[in-house]
Amino acid sequence: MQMEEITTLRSVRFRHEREADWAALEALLARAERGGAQGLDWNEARQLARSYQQTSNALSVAREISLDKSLVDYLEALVARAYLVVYAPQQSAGGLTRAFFLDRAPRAVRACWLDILIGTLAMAIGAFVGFGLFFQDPAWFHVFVPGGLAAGRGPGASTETLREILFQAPEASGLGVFAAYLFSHNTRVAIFIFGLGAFACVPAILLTIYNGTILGAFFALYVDRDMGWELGGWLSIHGVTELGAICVAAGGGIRLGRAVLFPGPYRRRDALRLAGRDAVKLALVAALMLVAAAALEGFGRQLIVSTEMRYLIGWGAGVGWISWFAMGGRAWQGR
Amino acid sequence: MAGSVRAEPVGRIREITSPEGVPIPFRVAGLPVRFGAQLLDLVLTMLFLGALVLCCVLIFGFAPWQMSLFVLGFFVCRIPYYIFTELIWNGATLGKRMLGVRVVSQTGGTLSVHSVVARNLMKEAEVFLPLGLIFVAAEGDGLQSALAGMWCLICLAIPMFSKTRQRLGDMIAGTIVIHQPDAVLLPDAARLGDATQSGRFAFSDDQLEHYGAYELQTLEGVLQRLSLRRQRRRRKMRDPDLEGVVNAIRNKIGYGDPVPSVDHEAFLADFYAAQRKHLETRQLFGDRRIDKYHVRDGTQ
Repeated sequence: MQMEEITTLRSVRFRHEREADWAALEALLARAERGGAQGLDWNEARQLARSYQQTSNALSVAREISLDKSLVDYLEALVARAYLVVYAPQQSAGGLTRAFFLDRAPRAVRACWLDILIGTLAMAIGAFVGFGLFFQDPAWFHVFVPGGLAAGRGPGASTETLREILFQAPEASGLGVFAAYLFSHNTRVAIFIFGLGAFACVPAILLTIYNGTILGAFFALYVDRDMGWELGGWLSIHGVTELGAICVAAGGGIRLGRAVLFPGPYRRRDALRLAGRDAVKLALVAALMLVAAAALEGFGRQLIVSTEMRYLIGWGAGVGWISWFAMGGRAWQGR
Repeated sequence: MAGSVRAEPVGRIREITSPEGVPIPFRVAGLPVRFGAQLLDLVLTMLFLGALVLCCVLIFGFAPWQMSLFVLGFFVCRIPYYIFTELIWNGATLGKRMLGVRVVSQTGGTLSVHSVVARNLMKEAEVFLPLGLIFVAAEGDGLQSALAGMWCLICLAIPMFSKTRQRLGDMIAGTIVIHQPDAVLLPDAARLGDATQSGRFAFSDDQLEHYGAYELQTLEGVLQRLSLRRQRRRRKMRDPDLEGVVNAIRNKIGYGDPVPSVDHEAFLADFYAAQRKHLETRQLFGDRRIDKYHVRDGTQ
């Protein structure tokens, strides 16, 4: 008699009729959460999707007709769990990589040409400042170049020592370590500059200018000893790619900072998200360039001692990058 | 879990509308949990790297290539580890998994590779730098420690002032970190009365006009607690003050007959069932009563 009276309540009937389905969905979810949705077979996956939709509907209905808080709470949590399993990341790695190289990365670089230009200018200004200040007073060298990076090179070192560093004989065994170190260190610096850009551009630009002053001070030191051409070769072989990567990473950061400073018609957080679509690709391009730069620096520079050859390889790589940025994605669009 | 059955959820709730158009509430993960997950990840990756290098040295003896392995391993532990684990485990690194939090897209739909990459690229400047700068701030000289401290504060302030606790990386990626939902279905309170053999108390429509959904659901909480206590014999759980509840309801609705204390539970169960039926029926006719103030608001 009791049951009869109660079941005239719509919400009780509603719940009673569906409880078994929800329990089945829970069991399916528990499996999918443990082993990933790949662990389910075809029928189970279909069942999961259908069950998710039915439970979604049930939640909407329950919110309308039921005042049973435990039911609504439960359905909200159950639908949330199912939602997280059903909408798991499912892009294919191969397709994404292909699209990235052929289309998206070069297009992002083209779209951000202004930001990359600002990054490059920051570095150029830094280099000029470093170069100029060195000729005013060589003691500036120690201000700009940290002791670890200078490694004995400085205004006090003899010309012979400086020349040796440019053309020293390689120790073949250590090259791999050197390249690995360069890659991991430089990539972290690039990602770091990129991240700093989001804080309203300023830190990223300052850091890029600072990197430029190091470069300028070094150059001035060697020009002072009449070895500017040789240093150019030593730097070019990897530096064209490496400094280019730093400029691209700084450009990505500046793109983010620009969205924070001048969000246009959007809220700042939305502007950041929109800018992020291109900026993140710039950071990835920079990381990729740094892999190449580390290989060129770790192996190429140590094994090739002809200055002309160094120029050729370095600037050849530069032309390669530029043509990728300029042309990638255009043929793709045209097809 | 069961102890906190009726406790209000801690922290902020953010509704994400699924592509099916159903708003789903998620509990936003607070900063302490996220900090904990980050520390766990750091400890785990460093332990793993240490163990890997140690094993290599023990098996092969020391060789230069182990140095490259270490250098590359250290690099992988910084950004790539977080990107790969969040992609593989659907938005959760090992540390996040252990603490039951995960990353979701704030706009609904799948968590894209772009989002995962974006939020983790920002880690270098936004998380690792401040973690390192804490030591500079503590030990550096005046200007240095002031700058370092300021950077740490900025990085902390951004998620603090965000309602959804998003750091810059989250904003760029359009992601939120949430608690993994935990679904527990409690028995239907309208059928708890079956156990107490009630059905003896009847209420008139006038008596059911007073309360709204909020009071109904508070009463539901009392009944759920009673049932849990009975089922699991949880002595520690505080006994609800049934007499107080019964008298408050009797006064409010003008229920004259006294209720003996053995019948308190049965009275409440019956009143709950009758009140819910009444309110749900009203709701079907478009009269949604949020709480007992509906009378004064003139929505009758």
